[in-house]
Amino acid sequence: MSLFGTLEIGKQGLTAQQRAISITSNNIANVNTPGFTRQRPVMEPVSPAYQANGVPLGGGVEVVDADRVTDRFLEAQINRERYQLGLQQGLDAGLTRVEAIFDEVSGRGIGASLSAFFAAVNDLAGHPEDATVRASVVGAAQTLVDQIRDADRRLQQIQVDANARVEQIANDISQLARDIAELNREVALKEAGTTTTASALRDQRSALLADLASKIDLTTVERDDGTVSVYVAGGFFLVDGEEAASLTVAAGAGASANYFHVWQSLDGAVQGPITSRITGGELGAQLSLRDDRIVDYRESLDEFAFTLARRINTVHLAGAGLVDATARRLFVDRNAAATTAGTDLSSVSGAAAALGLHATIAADARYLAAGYPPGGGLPADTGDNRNALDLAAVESAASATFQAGDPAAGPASGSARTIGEAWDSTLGALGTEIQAKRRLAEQTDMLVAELQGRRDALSAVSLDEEVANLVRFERAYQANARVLETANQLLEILLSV
Amino acid sequence: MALRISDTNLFDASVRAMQRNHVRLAELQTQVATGKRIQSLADDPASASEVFDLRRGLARIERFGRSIDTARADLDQTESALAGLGNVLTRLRELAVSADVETAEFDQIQAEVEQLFAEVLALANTRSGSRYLFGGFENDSAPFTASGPFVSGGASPTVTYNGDSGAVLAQIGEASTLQVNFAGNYLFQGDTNGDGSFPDSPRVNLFTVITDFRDRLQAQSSSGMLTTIGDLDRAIDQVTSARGALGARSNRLDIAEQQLASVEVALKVERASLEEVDVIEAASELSSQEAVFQASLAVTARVLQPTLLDFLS
Repeated sequence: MSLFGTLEIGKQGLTAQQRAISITSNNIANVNTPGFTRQRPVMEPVSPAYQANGVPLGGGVEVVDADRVTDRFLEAQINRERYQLGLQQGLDAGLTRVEAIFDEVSGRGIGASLSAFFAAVNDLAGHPEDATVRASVVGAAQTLVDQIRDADRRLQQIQVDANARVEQIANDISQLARDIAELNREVALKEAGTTTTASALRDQRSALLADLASKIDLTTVERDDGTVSVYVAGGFFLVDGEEAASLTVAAGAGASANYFHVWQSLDGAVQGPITSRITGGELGAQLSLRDDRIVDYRESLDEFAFTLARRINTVHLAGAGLVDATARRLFVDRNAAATTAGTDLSSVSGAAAALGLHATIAADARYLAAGYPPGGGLPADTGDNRNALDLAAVESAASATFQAGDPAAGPASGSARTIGEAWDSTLGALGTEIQAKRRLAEQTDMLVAELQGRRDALSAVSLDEEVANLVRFERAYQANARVLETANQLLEILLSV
Repeated sequence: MALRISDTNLFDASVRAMQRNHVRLAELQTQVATGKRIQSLADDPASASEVFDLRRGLARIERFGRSIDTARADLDQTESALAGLGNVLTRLRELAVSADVETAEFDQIQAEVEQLFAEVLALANTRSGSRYLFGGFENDSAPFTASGPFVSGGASPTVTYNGDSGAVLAQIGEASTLQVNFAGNYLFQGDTNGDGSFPDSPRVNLFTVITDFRDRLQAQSSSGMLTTIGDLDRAIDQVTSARGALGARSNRLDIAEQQLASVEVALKVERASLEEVDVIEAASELSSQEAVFQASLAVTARVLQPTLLDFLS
């Protein structure tokens, strides 16, 4: 081995330490970059090129890779929890909107208006002849009707908003799929046939996958060529190597005609609907709100409106107003063709939206049936409060069906309940559900933070460590420079002979 | 935890702890500021449902309270009408007694009896606001009309009842109602069964008692005065027993009101225990949470300061 060989080793050592310093400085520079994975110089001894009397001497060092320090199983686990978190947070936000609409805790909700209506009816029993009292009963009934219809309209708005979000998220997911496929291509290209890791590209891809995971439930598989395959909604392929599918939306048919269905598409060709398969992420949350949770609460509201109308109408029909002996319903179907008697709500479904006040009574409170018809086609006597007492008693009448004694009208609930109690149970269910979702979201959030902490403990930059490395590589650099200097001096000695 | 820790770990952990403490602090501040323990259904769904139930119960109590007030006003008006009626009947009896012995003053007495008849008719048509008290359900028109004025030497007018025998009830408790009115035919005409044929023995028709008295005076019938005195005694009994019934009703109102008041207190206490914040507990928790929050700020500030760079020269 010649002195030139030693010079060469010194030169390689210098280069390697310099590369290591450059990798370290890149780590330091990225200390605050979210999702950045620290890199570690992988140094390997160069195979011996020289032999001295059969003894292999080392050939120096080279940096073969800047390795990403990462645990891909941990990343996959974090992504699994991310779509759970996306789902729970989305549901929590939607259900919190429902609570704001019902607004019962503040004492301004439908339950409070129901109570105010019965208070007015009670006053009517005290003063059946008083026009002001009658007007306030009609006013309270109108408030109740308005509030129920307004709540239904605002619940529907949540569904409409969720539907709009579904389209946006589907577009976002499609864009992410294309970007991930493109990064797959670049990673494969860069790493093919080398020992190097395309760290920056992989970091970018990890960030996109994390973003995707918050939007939809997914599983990922990393291939040998460095590409990542992504499957969503329980197994539908979204990204495979350089190829990306997309999610497209199309209006559904029948009952859900107004709402988008999600389709998996490939090269512009629609493959199949996957709406019902999506169970996670923000997309899962919006679909669940739109197709399930809000539907349930609108049903509860419909049942409440239907029960109210049926139970009050039964009593109101038995009485008469001060003008004529005609039996009228108080709560009618606002969409039905106008008749003097008013028509009952035809079905539970859509009852909240269809609820209205009898036009004749709304226009003239004297038609309120506070008394019994005295017979002979005569209107009720002014002082007759018997029907008003009956109406007031509806508040405390419990029944397991929408309308007492009318099982054909279908069960409103399993056990006998008053109207107010039935409404309370809806609110109770809502509160319990929000509480459960919120707790779950908090737990998942903690879990994600915990996993993220473990990922950061492994992959994120520690400045102290990097500074220590910096010192280490600097010392090594100095030593290698000394090797060069020594070899140089040896050469000079030799040449001066 | 791993053996390695990154700067991100330190920073994130501090920030998360800080935020968690801040959220808890904000919750406590809202609770103390509003005095309400339940800000959202999700805070405590079970208690929230109970609170709604209690609110409904309290609203009903307030409602029964209003019914009681209305009923009491009507009972008071009825009572003063009956008191007036009692005075008139007592005066008539005095007149009958004096007529029994002083036949010479028949003309003068007859004039006063006619006046008193008009007064009884007016009392029978007593109004409370626009309502007639003694018309049963038909309270929008005068329940009693006389067929005409007294004509000297002529027959006495007859009185017709235009109302019905409706019993106006008031709901004064969850399961208790109270009749607020006396129907005019029952009170004045002695029609206890409301069949339109009266008086039902042993009751008397007040109007005919008085017109019979007047007719006897006009006929100068001294012998009839004893019958009239007997009739008037029964009439006075009739009014007195009605006043007794009124007193009993008034007592029932008082009892119902006291019951409502005690239930109201119980419900309010229960509602407060579910809905309201225990101020002392909340305030002390708030101050300890403030201390925790400040500690987490201090820790964050200190954790992020030292690095290896501080010790390398």
